[in-house]
Amino acid sequence: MKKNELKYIDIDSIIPNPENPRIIFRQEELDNLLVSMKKIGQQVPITVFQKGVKYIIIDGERRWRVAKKLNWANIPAIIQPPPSELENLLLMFNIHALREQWDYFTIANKIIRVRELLRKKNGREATEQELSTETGLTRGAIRRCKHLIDLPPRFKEMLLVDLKKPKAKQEFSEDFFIEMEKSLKSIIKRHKEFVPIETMRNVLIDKYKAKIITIQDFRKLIKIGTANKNVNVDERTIIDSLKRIFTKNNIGIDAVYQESVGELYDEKKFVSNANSFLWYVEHLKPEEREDVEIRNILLKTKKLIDKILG
Amino acid sequence: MNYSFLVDPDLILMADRVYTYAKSHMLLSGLKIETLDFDASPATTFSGNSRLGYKVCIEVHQSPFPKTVESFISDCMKHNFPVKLYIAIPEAGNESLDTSLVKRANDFGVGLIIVGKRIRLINDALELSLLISDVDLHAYPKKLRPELSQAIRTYQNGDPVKGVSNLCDVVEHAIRKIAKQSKGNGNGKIPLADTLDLENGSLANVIKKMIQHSVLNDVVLASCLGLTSVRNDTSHPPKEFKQRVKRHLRLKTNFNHTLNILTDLLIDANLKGYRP
Repeated sequence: MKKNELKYIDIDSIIPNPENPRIIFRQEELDNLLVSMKKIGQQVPITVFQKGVKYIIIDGERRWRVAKKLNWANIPAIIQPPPSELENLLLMFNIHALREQWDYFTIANKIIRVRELLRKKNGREATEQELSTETGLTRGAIRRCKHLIDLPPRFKEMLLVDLKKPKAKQEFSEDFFIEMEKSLKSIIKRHKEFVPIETMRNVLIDKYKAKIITIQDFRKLIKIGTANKNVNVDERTIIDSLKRIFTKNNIGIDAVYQESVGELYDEKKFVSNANSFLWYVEHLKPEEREDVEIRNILLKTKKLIDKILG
Repeated sequence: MNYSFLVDPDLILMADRVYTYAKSHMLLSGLKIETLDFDASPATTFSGNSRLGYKVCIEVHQSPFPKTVESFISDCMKHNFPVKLYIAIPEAGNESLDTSLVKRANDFGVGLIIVGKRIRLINDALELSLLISDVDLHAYPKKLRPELSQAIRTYQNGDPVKGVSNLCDVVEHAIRKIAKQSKGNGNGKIPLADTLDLENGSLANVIKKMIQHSVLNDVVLASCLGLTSVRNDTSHPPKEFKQRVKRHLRLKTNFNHTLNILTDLLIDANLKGYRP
């Protein structure tokens, strides 16, 4: 077979790629593509490889699904030579992930297989950097995927069902699970009494469903857990605060944060900002000291400090 | 059931129930999933055959009038496909239905199926081949509007033969009124001494008499004479899809042709001072 041959292919001889990391298609996206393809046709051929009498999609599953719905008998496709399993996977990562924002969950599922195949090929575990180079994903994206990979299967299923819904109708999101896992891992790293994390996870999910907590609160949860190191809060206070959060009740993360460590973090932030301000004032250049705007701010600050200190 | 295009998990569950409903309640045979056996697109979620010869297509969607069906409707109208289109939507729950979209669906003769604990057919659909362009009733004399509106409704609601016949009745009433108003002496008048019964006499004779005395434009009146064959088209609706396509094309042509004749007749009558 010639390399990269362009042909019109019978639509029924095409099948989706079982290795396609993109397992989630949203109805709204397909609807929009349908309207566009009906109006202006298929602008870009799909990419396939031949396997027996069938053609497997490398790139263009959405276009193929829409073309089927449009009742088309055939569609233009670029036929590539059959790739190895690893090549097939990496090809799709590099084609898709760089082109548009994918759900991390879809990537996470296939990253596991990529890792296995790279281990087989190289005889050792691939590093985060190697995975990033091979797949074209950032290291941050790979790390976020890892949080999802570690989720128990029932939560993965829950997320998968949710991701297929239109964004507005999703109860959970990848961000929720990623931020929750990140905060829980941070907690158990420092406070072994909370291992295993299963109970905490269940409580947090229930509280999220009941709108007692939000995704943004997980940053505060990390702050509570690390308050010993960051703002010198005693271990007992931290444990008590975390226990209140991880108990089935109506108490949210934000309320506990404000009661226990919120002020200390605010104070820390104030001190840090004040130090920056002082440093800037100390290092003002002679011409800056003459600047009207700067002088006004300094005067206002002086008056305020005089009033506070008496 | 396996769907290629339908990917929303809630809609998939709903579609499986609609499939069963289409078979058991709508009595459709040869049900196909996301495929059509006639030249329109996009394919609806389901399509099947009714016992009366028209196709029934059902699109499962969140919206009562999704943008994806607009081109389907346009294809069916263009090719005179006798297709009834229904949109199956989930019961709104706390959210209310977008009434503007429901109205739009209604304007296009699209039916609505609501899927909740049970499945309910809310609006019945019209055969898309029977849809005609909007008729501005205000362009017609007040007295004729109720009859005209009834003729359009009858036509679109599935009895095109009676619809065309009703429209011919409107033309006949107008002709007879003009003829009666034209009785008098002088040019362009039917002489007072003429004995032809303008109320109950044969319509063809009335028109011929009007031509004889140049009551209206000869061409307009001659075209009215041709309505007899249109009116007598009482063929029974075929139960075969292709035959139905041909029949609906003929009936739609007849309906539009009769409406044009009525319009021309009224314009000319108006010019000559008659008020039918």
